[in-house]
Amino acid sequence: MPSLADFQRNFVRALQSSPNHSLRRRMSAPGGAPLEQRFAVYRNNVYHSLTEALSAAFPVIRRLVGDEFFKITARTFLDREMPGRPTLIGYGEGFPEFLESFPPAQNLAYLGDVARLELTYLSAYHAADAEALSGEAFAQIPPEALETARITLHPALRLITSPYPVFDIWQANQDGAAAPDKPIKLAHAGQCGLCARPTLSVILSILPEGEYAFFSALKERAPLGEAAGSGAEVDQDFDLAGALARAFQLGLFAKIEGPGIPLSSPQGRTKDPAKD
Amino acid sequence: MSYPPQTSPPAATVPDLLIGAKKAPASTPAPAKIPSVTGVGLKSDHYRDILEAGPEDMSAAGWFEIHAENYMGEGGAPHAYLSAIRERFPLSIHGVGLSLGSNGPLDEAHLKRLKGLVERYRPGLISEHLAWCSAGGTFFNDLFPVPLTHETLRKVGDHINQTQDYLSRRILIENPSTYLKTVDDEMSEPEFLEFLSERTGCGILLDLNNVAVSCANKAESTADYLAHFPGSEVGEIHLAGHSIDTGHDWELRIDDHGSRVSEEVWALFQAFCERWGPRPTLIEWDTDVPAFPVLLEEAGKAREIMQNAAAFGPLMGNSHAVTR
Repeated sequence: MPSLADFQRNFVRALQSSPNHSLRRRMSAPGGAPLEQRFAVYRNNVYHSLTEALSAAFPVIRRLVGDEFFKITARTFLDREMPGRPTLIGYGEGFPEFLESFPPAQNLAYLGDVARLELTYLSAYHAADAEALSGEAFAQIPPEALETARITLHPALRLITSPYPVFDIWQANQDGAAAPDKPIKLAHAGQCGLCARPTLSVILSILPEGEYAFFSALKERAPLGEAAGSGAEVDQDFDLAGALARAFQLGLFAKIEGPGIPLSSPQGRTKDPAKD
Repeated sequence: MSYPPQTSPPAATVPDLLIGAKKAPASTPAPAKIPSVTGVGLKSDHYRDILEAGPEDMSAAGWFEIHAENYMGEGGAPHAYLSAIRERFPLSIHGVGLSLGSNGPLDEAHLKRLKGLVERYRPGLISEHLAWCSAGGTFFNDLFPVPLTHETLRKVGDHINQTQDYLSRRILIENPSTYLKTVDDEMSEPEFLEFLSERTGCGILLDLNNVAVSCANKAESTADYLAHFPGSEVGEIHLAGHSIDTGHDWELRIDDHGSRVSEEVWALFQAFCERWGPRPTLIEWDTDVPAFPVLLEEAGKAREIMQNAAAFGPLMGNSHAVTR
């Protein structure tokens, strides 16, 4: 009798092709339906459910390329990259890169970055919870302490940049979105922005380049003064007050620390509601 | 059966009904034992229905069950809604990804994620399948059959022991739906499950829809299957719908959890309740999920069968049929 290991090795092979001789001898098909049809149920469960999972994760891509093309694309991707973990949260990591290399999609060069935006959206959706730092807590910090203050960004905040207008493409392809006033121009129309989840809903926002540079510097743990410098370097009209207002409105900061700043003010602590 | 993931967000509106729960989260209630009443598989489409319903609307749904893998993200809406529901109802955690039937070792990272969920939500029941879904680091998102041999019994038994030790909890093992018969079987599925339970102390999750699907696909009798089933080890029952692939000169039953419970499965349920008494009983509906009231209707029907069996079972000479 073959071992469980042999059985499973042959079973996996049969998902990709058809049951081999050795597996056929280990299986019977009582009651009429041929063995190949029975295997087809498993094969269909695997490929159909994973195609559905990709379709749920990348609705904008599906809309851009159409259902039929999406199915073929997903099937080709699955032949290359099956899930590596038994949860589908986060599955599809390799899909943007795959789209960029998939010959039939070569004339849609922006697909990869749009798929990255969709992955980012889901990653923010499932990110850890944290209470956002309030504007009031920030206002209590002595002005002289701000220059050297270090800000911890909210765990759900993601920054995105692309040479394509990915935010406009994403927006125009949401269910119920009105058609854009004019066609989206692709050339020299790169966009940068953020994806945030202050409470439970994910928010996408395009940022001016200076602001994007500012938040990127904070993400790299630059002190506040230095990060403001990065913003001004990229964009001479960089508006620090405006960037901070946005940060408090969208709950982008979790914590602020540094010399002269009192430790863990009540509004400033991070907290995981599930552990209270 | 494949399990559609709930990885995509529901409506992006601000969930007012969570605001209270979010500001002052109550501590997760202790892992209340799930009573022998009907429950419903939790779908994200129904979060709001459940939280907005009054107690009288919910009388047929005494508890909820989740697929563990849909809640393995870190935070956000899935956990906020689940926490709010857990504050009001007992919860069962049903895993579909542990691959207890794998020849290879268990995925320890996955076991750790499962333990995290168990500690966070303190479920009344924890269950997994007599099946495998991963091999060589690939996850197939479907439940594959195992040959019912002594080798498999030893390996699955070891995996169950490891899981129960790691979680410090007893788990229930579900009979799978199968489309093939393995010719090397050294015992029947009811015998296999009974031996597993003896070996590991695990309980059994009896999925009566799977019994109907597998027996039809293997040309076996459901009556024989249940006559030999170790009913006293059953800690939970699953009821669901399946479809039938017809139009050929053969038929295959497909376990898609996409319709109402079939008459055949209701009859199996009644027979089980009359012989063994009531158990926590779940209505599962995973594809083409209908409006929440449809699930409550199905749960109400199950409740009625369970209550009638409890009332009349003893009169029919059944000493087991006592309400627990």
